[in-house]
Amino acid sequence: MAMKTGQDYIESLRKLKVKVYAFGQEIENIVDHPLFRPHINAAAVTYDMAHDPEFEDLVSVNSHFTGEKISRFTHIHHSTEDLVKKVKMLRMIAQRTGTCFQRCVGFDAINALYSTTFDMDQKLGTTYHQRLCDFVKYLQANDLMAAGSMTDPKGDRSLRPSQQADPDLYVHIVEKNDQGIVIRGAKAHQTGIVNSHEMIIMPTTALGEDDKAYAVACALPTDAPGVFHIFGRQTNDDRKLQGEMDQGNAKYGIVGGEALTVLEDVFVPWERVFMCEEYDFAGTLVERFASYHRQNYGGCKGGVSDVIIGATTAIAEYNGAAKASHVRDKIVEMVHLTETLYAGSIACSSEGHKTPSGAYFVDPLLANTVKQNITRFIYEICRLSHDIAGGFIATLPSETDLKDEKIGKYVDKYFRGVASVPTEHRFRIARLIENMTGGTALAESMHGAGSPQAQRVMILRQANLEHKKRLAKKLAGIVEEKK
Amino acid sequence: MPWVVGFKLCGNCNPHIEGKGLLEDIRNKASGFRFMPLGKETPDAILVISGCPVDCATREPTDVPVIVVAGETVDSVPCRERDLLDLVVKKLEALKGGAKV
Repeated sequence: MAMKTGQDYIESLRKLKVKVYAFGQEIENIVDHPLFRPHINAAAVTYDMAHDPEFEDLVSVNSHFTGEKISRFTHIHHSTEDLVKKVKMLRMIAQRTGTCFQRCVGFDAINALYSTTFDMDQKLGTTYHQRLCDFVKYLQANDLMAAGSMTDPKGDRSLRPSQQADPDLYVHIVEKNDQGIVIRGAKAHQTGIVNSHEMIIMPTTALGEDDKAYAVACALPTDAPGVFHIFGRQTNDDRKLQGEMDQGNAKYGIVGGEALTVLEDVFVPWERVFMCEEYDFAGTLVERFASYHRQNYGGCKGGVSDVIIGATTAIAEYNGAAKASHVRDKIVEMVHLTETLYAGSIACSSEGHKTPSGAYFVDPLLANTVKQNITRFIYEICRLSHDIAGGFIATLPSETDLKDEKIGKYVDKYFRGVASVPTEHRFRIARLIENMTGGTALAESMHGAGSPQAQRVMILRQANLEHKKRLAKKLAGIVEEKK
Repeated sequence: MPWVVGFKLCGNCNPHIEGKGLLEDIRNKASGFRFMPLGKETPDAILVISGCPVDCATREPTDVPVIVVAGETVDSVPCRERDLLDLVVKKLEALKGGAKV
C-alpha cells in the first residue's frame, strides 16, 4: 500500500472510534476539535514530507522486510546511517512544526522490541520476534502511527509494582487464555495517543519475579474495547478555543498533546503479545527504548531551539536591539547550546552498533548524555530568549484588543518596536516565544524520555569508572600489588 | 533527444543552500535535458543536491556520471552559492557533449 499523505492520515482518524475525554466531556470528533487539531496537523506533517522530494530522503526509506518505500517512522534501523538520518529527520521536521510531532515514540518502541524479542526468543525459545515482525510489517504496509506506551502512573515510587496499595497503578496481566491476555491499568503522559492508530504497551521498569504479571508488552488499537483516554491540560490551552495569534503556534500547538490512557480489562490476542511474564527482560526493553528515545532530543529539541533562536533574533530586530553586542553574544550562546545538543544526538547515532537481531542500537551512554543536557540547556535557551525578547511578552494584551475598533490603535501604537515593522509582526513573534518557552513546553523537555535522575543512573552505570581509575593511577605512577 | 537527468535531494535537515530552489533554476536554465526523480527512469546523468558538505543524500553506486552539489561545493570543489547554477549547467552541457566530468 502506498504511503499516506497528511490528508489521508487525517481522514483515517475519522474512521477510528477512539474514546477521548476532555474537560469532562466525551469528544465525538477530535479531528475538527480545536483542542486536538494542532497536534493532528503536526503529525500530518510527518506524512506529507515523505512525498516531498525536498525531504523524502530523510522521511522515507526502503523497508528491510519488503524493499518497498516506507515512512522512516515505521522502519527498523539497520545501519548507523539509519540512526543518524533519524536524528536529522527529527530536527528537520521540528524546524517546520516548532513542536513535537509525536510519531517517534512508537518508532522507538518497535525498534526496542525488535532486538529484545529476538534476544528473548534466543534465550527462552519463545516466538515473540516473528509476531513483532508481523506487527511492524502491518504498520509499514498501512503507514500507521503507533504511540509508544511505557510510563505507568506508578503510585508510591518507593514500592515495587506488586507492592502498591492499588495493583492497577502499573499495567498488568489479569487473565491469560488460549486466545490471548487481558490487561488492566493505565499509561500516563501518552504523547499523540488520541491521534494514533495503535498503541504499543511496554513495562516501565526492571522487574523481579514477584512483579511478573507486570512484565507485559503488546500492541492494541487505540480504540480497542476497554480503552479510553483523558486528555491533559497544557499551559494556555484555552487559547486554542479562542482566536489565533495568542496561541503563538496556532497551526501545530505546543508539545504533542498528552493523555492518560486507561485500560479496563482489555483483551489482546496472542499474535499481538510480545512479552508475557518474562520479567528478566523487562529492564532490557526499558533501557533500549529509553536510549532510542533519548537519542532523539538533540534532533527534535534542536529543531525547536532553531525556531526559538529565529524568533529571538527576529524580535531583537523588531525591538531595535539586534546590533547590541550582548544580544548577539546571547544568540551565539543559544546556537552553541543547540548545536551541542545536536552533536550529542549525532554522536550517539554514529557510535551505534549492530545487535544480534541485525537491528542497530545507539550508544546508550551518549544517548543518556544528550537527554541529560536537554534537561538543562533548553531552560537556558528559553531564558536567553526571554532576556532578549523583553518583559512585554509577559504583559501583552490579547489579539482581541489589538483588533478592537476602539482600543486597537493604542495597542498598535504603544507596542510597536522599530517604526518600519508592523506591530502585528512583533505581537506574533512575542506570542510564539511566550508559548514555545513556557510551562508545558519546558516540563516536557525535562521529563520526556525519562526524568533527569533516570539518565544519571544510566550514565553512572556506563561510566566505566574502574577503567578511568586505572588510567589515572598509571599516570600518577601508582603501582599496586596484584591481589 | 533530451538527456534524462535523475535528481536526488538530501532531506534538508539544516541546509547551507537553497537546494530545491537551485534544482528549479537548473531545470529552467538547462535546455535539452529532462529532469526526473532518481529511480523513475534510467538516467543519462545523475544530479545530487545535498544541503551541506556532509552530502548524506542516499544513492546507490553507479557507472552513470554523477554531479554532486554538497552545500557550497560542486564535486567537492568549493564555490559560492550564487555560482552553483552556472557551474552545474556547464557540467551538464559538457557531459552531454561527451566530456568526462
